[in-house]
Amino acid sequence: MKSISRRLFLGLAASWPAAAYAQTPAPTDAYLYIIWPNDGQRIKGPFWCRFGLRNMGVSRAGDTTPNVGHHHLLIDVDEPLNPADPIPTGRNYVHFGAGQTEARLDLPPGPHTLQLALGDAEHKLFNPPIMSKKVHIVVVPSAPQTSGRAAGPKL
Amino acid sequence: MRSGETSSHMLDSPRRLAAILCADIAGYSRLMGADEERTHARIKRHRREIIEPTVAEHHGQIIKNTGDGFLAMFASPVEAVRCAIVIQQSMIGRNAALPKQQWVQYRIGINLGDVLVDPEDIYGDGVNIAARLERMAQPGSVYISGGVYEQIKNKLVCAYQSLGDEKLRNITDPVRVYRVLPDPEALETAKRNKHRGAGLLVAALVTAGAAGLFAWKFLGPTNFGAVSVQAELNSPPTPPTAPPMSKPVDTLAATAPPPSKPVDAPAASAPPMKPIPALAPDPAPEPIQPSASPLPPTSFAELPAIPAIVREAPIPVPAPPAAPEPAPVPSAQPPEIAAMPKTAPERPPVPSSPPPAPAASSPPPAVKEAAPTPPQPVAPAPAVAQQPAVAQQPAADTPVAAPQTSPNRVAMLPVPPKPDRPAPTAAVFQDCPHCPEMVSIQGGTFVMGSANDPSEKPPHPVTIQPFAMARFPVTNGEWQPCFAAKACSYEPDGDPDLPVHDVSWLDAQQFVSWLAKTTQKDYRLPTEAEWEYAARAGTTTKYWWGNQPVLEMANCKGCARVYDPQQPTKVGSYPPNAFGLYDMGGGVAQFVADCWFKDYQGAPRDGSSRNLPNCREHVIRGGSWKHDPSYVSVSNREKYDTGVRYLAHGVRVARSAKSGG
Repeated sequence: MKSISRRLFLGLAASWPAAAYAQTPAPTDAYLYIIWPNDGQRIKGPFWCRFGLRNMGVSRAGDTTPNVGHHHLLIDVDEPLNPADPIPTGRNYVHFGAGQTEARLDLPPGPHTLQLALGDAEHKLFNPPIMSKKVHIVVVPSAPQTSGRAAGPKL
Repeated sequence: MRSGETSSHMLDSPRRLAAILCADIAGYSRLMGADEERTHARIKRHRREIIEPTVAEHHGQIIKNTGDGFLAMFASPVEAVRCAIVIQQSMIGRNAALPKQQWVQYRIGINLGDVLVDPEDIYGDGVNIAARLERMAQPGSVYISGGVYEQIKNKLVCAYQSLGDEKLRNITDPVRVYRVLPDPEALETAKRNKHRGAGLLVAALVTAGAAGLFAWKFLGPTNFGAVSVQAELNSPPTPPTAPPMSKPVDTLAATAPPPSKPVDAPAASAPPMKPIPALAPDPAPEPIQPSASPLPPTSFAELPAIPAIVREAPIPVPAPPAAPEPAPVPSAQPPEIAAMPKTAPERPPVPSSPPPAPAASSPPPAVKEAAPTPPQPVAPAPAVAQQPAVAQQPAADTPVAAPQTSPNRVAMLPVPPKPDRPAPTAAVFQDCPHCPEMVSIQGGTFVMGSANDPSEKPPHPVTIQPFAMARFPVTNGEWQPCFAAKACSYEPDGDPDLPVHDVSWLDAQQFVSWLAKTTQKDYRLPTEAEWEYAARAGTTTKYWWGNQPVLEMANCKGCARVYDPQQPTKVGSYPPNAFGLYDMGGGVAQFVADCWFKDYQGAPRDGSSRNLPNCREHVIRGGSWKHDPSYVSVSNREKYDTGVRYLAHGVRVARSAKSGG
C-alpha cells in the first residue's frame, strides 16, 4: 500500500514540470543526525532535542546560499515527504526556519519517533534528500498522577 | 425493506406521518423528593387545566401520560409547536408566583416522523427522536427537529435558533435541532447575552411570553388568551437590570424587528453556551442545584447566544443566494439536508449571500472524534450558575494533539447541508479602491479556546470591542501596490484573486503598516482573540458550521473535491461564516498580532494581543489548504518563526472600529 502510494507519488513528481520542483543540490556526504536523544532512550518529562549536521551549514529559511539549509523535526511521521512540496507544517512537523539547532519537546507519555529533515530556502528537501535516521524514544510519565493520561491520548 | 414499503401503503396501515410531541418535567424527582403530595397534585392540576385542553385545542391527541410527562401526537406540526408554546407560556404563569425551587418546568421536543400507531401507544424512530429532543431541551423550552422546522418556518411567527446537527443516540442520521423562541423579539433578547442571574429568567420568559402573546394574537385561532394573560399579570414587576456590557453579537438581526421594547430581558432560557447537551451519550441524571446564585463574571453564561434564525410570516427576502445547487439527495437523507449555494468561482457580491450554517455531522468514527462538549448537567432551575466547562472536562478525555491522524479519517458528508442563516447585517466597506473589503464586527463576549488541545486550554471568556475584519485574506492584487511602493518586500506571484501566500509575519506587518499609512486608518493584524471571535461568528462548535468536517466548506486537504498542493483556491471560493467572512479556516493560514505562548494561561481577557519583546514565533490561525480538517477548526493554534516565509501562510487584516462604532 505504502509502496504503491510512494510509487504513484514519485511518478507524479516525475511528471511534474521540472521548474515546479527543481530541487536544490546538496553535497553527497552531508550527514544529518539527532545528537540527543539516542535511539531507544526512555525519557521523563520535557527534554531538549539537539540536531547535528555535518558537511553543510545551518542557516535561516529563505537563504539561498549553496550548501545551507534549516532543520525540520518530524515527530511520529511515517509518511514519506514529497520532494516537490515544502515540508508540511503542523503538530508533527516542527519547523526551525530561524536556524535553530535544538528544540524543547514536551511529548505525551508513550513511544515516539523523531527524525530530522533538512529543508532548503523554500522548506523543500534537497537532492539527494538530507534526512536523519529515525530515533525511537519512550516518554515515561513524570509523575504518578499523570499515568492515567498515558492511556488516553494517543500520539 | 420492500415489505415495509408495501405495508405502509396498505389502507389499514397502522403507520402514519405525525408530529410527535414529547414532554417531561425537568427535575421531577427533585420536586417529588421535596414535596411528593403537593407536587403530584400540582402536576395533576396542570395536566387537567393546561395540558389536556391545550392539546385538544390544537387537534392533538395525548397518547400516554408518563409519570413526569406525556406523549402527544398531532396531525400538523404547526399545531404541535403552537401547542408547545402555549403550554410553556402557561407554565411560566403558573410558576411566576412560586420560588424557583418549586417551579414545574417542561422540556418539550417535537419531531415529525413516521410512526406505528397502536391503540395504546405509538412507536418508531419518530418517537425516539422526539424523546431525544426533549431530553436535550432546556427546562422551559421547546426543541424541534429540522423536519418540523421545514414545515413551520414560514407559518409561525416565531424565532428559531439553530443548534446545529446532532447525532442522537441510536438514531442513524444526524438530526438538525432548533430551539423555538416565542417570537422574533425573544430572539433579539436571546442574543443579548446580558442575563446574569437565575432570577432573570422568569422575567425573561414572561417578557417573551408577553411579547409572544402580542404576536400570537395575530396568529389567530389560539385560545390561550386567559392563561397568557395570567402569565402577563404574574410577570415580575421589575425588568431585569441591563448590565452595561459590551454590545451583543448581533449577527443575524436581518429580519428581526428593531428592539423597540424597553425591556432588556434576555429570553435565553438556556445558558447559551452549551447548546448541545445531547452530544453526551445521554443526559446524565440531573444534578440538583436548587440554589441559584448569580453567575460569576467569568461564567460561560455570559457568552453570546449562538446565532439564530428569525422567520416572519412574510419573509423579507434577503439578497438571494447564488442559485441553489439541487443536490443529489438520496431519499434517505433527512429533508433539511438539501442544497447549498453553489460556491461561485468569482468573488461573491458585496451584499454577501446567506452564510450557511450547516453543522452537518457525520457519524463520529471514533470516540476521540466525538465533539468536545462535555455533558452538561441540566439544571432544574434555569440559569443556575454553571461551572466553567473546564471544571467539567473529564481530564482523561482531552485528547492531546494526535499527530498520527490521517487527513481523511473523518467520513465526510457528500452533500453539504443547505444554509440556514440569514444574510449577515454586517456592513462591508472599503477605505480605498485597492483596500481590502472590510466587514464591521460588533463586539461581544465569547469563550476562546477549547478543551481539545493543550495549546487551546483553558477555554476562557474574552470580551471583544467592535472592530472590522477583512472579508477575505489579502490577495495578490491587494498586495501588489504595496510591493510596487517598495513598502512590502514580498513580491506577490500569480492570479490577483489568490490569497497572498508564502509570506512571513514580518511581511504581514509591512503590509498592514503600509495600508495604515496610505489610508490613515488604523489597519493592523487582528489579535488572536479577534480572529477566533470572528471565526466563530457566534458559534461554539469546532468549526463555524458545526462539530464535524463537511465537504466544500473550506479549502483544506480532504475538505473539498479540489485539492491542489501547489496553491490555494481563490479567496471567497467557499461559503462565508455568519459574520460574512470568507476563508476563516483553510486556504492560507493567517498570522495574527500575538506572540506565541504555548497555551492560554494568563491570556488577556479584553481581546488585546499578547506580546513579548523579541518575540521569535507568532501565532498563525485557521490552518491552511495543505492541512487536514482538524487544523481548520476555529480554535486551532499554530506557531511559526516570525521572520520565515512559508508557502501556506497568508494574512488577513483588521482595523479598529471607526470612532463611535
